Amino acid sequence: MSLIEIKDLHVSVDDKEILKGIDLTMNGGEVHAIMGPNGTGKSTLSYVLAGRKGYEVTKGSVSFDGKDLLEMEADERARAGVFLAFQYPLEIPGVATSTFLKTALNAKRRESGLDEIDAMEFLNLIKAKTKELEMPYEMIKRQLNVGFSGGEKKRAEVLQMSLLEPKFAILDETDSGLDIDALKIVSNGVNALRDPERAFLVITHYQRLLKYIVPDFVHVIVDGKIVESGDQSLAEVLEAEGYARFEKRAAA
Amino acid sequence: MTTVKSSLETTFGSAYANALGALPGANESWVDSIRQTSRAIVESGGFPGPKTEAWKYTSLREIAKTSFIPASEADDVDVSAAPVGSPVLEGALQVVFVNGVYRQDLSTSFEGVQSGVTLGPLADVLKNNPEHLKDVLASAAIPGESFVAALNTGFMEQGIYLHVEADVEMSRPIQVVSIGASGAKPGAFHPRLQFVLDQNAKATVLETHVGLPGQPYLSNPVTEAILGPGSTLKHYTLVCEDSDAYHLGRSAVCVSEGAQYESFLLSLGGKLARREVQVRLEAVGASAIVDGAYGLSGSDHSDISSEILHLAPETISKQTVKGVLGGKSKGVFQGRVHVAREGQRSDGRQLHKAMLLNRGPEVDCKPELEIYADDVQCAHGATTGEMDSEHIFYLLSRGIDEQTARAMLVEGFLDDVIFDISDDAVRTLVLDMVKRWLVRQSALIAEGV
Repeated sequence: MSLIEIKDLHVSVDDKEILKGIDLTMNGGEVHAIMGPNGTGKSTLSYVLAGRKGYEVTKGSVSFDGKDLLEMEADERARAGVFLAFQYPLEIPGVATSTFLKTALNAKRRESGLDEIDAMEFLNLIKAKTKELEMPYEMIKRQLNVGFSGGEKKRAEVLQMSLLEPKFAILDETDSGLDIDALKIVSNGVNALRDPERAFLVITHYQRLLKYIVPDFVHVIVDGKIVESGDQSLAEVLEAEGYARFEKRAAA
Repeated sequence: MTTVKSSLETTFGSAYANALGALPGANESWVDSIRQTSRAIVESGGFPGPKTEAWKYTSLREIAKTSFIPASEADDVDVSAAPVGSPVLEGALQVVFVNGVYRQDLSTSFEGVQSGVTLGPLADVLKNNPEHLKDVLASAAIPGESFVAALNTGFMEQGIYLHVEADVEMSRPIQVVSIGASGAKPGAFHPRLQFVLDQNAKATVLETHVGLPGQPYLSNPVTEAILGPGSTLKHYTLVCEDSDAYHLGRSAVCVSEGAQYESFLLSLGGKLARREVQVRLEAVGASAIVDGAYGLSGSDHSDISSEILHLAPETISKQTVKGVLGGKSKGVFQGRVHVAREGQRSDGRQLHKAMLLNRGPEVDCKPELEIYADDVQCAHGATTGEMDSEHIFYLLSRGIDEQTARAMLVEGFLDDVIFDISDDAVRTLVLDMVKRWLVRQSALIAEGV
């Protein structure tokens, strides 16, 4: 049984169909990249998998780890092992990063029948994780993402992912707004989490990120459908030729 | 002007008239004249009604219909301790009033307060050394400018007087605790706090206004502060009255050259709680922080009406007020920022944000910016809305359940402004009070819109 099976997924937002029949199967250990022009449904796919409200599934199914993912609330999905790294992580004034991380981690631990994490153990864990991602430890005292630079926000997303150890991680345009150094750090963070039990869905507009996070499969999505799939070389073709020929094919 | 004139006599009747001659300082002609003038304003004007601009959103009708006795005369009230859950500022000099009466037995002794600091019951100063108050009393809290100030000044009896001499920094904060409690009859009290800081003096004062359940009471406190050049006053006010009680309070502050006034108001309601604040930035470089937060539920009514006056060049003010409302509560924020012609190169920033927990509450927000100088930086903003659904989703996407997520977001919304309180102990105390308030509202918060 595959970890994720998306079958003929149709999704509408405000009665407008955005995804028009997505089929995608992913196994543990695999990294799949989804590429495509802007406005083609990439972010919609990430949100509908994470369980955001306002997306109506009109047809199709998604199974995750043998369960019907679409029947679960967003927080249940997260506790079951789905993680979305946001394209634009939200700034939440007044909520300390440490409180947020601890609450999320404990929610996950409770689900697995574990006790809440000991305060000392938590601090040591954060110390180790922030060091790996070359982030100052003091960031956990700051308000969640408030005043963080673009690069700091993306690193903070990877930190959360690393802490919550998902089975299925979706990276939505994680490369946007990153300079080359930050891109390397974030990519290294993601690569360190590659694991035979874990699948990644990497959504990106550019091939650049895929030089650092090398995918096993590349899918091109145009107008709400996957129009071509291949290996990493497909990303290189796209980089050289752009999306024009796929857009023509979708229109034909 | 619509008034409820006829009921004034009913509201503050003969018991008040009898008490007047015996008030401290009554034999001092200038004190007596300030009281007489104030009472004349109250009596001739009556209770302001909805056509008075300053009272458009807050009705005094319920208060006008009630007959109050001077609360100090209630002999059927037993308060031998502060109400359970009253916040206590560790390390502070405690000055406790019950129904406006100074309670030595519940207060820290004034003996041995550091040199350069005069701190004592206001009634003693009015009686024995009224000259200390001669240039101060009613110089900032001007009876003609505010019904609340006039009502207090007409009937003021007890309170505290604090004078910090030049270059003296108070080593301990002061906590003034005002407890309201009515016996069989509703009582009213009018405490008066007078602060005078000389050049470069520093002091921290926390006022807490709490009460016991029972018959309604009316708390009508006025704080008047005069800040000398280069001085710093941190002034924090917590209004946490009983849900059947009325609170009509005013802080009036004059800030002189280079002096800093930092204030924070936390209002957790009452049947009707109106806090007025007026800050006069009177000389070059005077600055003020006039922040606040409020949490309302049930049928609470909170009114924060503020006036910040930039009367001199290079004066700075910052005001952020955030409120969370549930039930059928009503929140009023009126904020006037005035920059006079003399206020060149001044900087005034004001923000009011309200979060509604359900569809029941009402928020009336009236920001006013009046600028007569041509070289100033001023900004103001106001928002009212429900909890941000994107914020909720972000927390859910990390496995946090919706109930916890909502509670975290409401707390964060208020904590955001509370974090700006510079006094560590007060900040901790306010965060804790808000947390406890939120726990009491948890069912409401979880339910959502």
